[in-house]
Amino acid sequence: MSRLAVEKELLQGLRKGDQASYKKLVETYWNELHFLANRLVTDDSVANDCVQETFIKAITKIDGFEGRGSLRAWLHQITVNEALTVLRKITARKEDSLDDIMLDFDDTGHYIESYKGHPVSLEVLQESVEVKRHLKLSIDKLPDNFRAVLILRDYEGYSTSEVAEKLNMTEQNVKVRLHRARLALRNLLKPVLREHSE
Amino acid sequence: MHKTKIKEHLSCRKVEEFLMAYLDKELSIWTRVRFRFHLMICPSCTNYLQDYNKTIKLGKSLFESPDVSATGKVPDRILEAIINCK
Repeated sequence: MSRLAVEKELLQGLRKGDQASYKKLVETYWNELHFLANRLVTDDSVANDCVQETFIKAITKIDGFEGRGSLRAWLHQITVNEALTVLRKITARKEDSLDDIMLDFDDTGHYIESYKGHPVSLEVLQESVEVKRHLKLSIDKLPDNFRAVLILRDYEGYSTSEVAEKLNMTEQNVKVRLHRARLALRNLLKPVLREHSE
Repeated sequence: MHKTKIKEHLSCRKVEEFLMAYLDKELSIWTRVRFRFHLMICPSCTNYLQDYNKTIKLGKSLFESPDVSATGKVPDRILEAIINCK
């Protein structure tokens, strides 16, 4: 059954208050929502709480879901909001920087060492379980305020202005953090990229 | 291009600074031309841009199809709490 057909059937059940549909909703979307929440809050048990709250909100507010976007996208939005609420409390206590994982340039503005790159195809990397594991760990290593920007803008499809609003930053600040987060992530991935290039 | 800077050309540092604006097509035409010229003569920055793009795409694909084994089964107490929330 297609994703749209699954969603349609689920929505009918949810609107009727059918508990089997609640169960199916959770079982269908648990993994991806937990993955998303866990990358934002980097704590398995806190991610559990966020996703639990997401499902409860979705079920109790299902009549308010107008169906302009997909049910999946709506669940992602609620999860992001839940996780950001938690993250704001943590991030309010600290403001990390990425200075220790950025590349160095010399006085003329050129690389201290030439950048050799990693001649391995994207497809090979995407299929590697090790790359996925390393990537996940690397994303989790980024400071909260950079990781959140990266996840929302690059992976969840929010625009720069939407991210700025959600994270209470200027658009320029979002752009700077996104760029630095991408660079830092690429630097963190270097060992695994190198390994797959050999 | 490594350490062979021509004054009016962009430096590698500038290329890194302009990378996102380049990808978002926000550079002026002239800066875009200088950026692309730099890429033509600088293997380091070309490699750098390729890895940068690869990193973005890898992250996207991870979020599109996360490793389900990493999260696993829904904890019973949570499932129960959700089913009985209404």
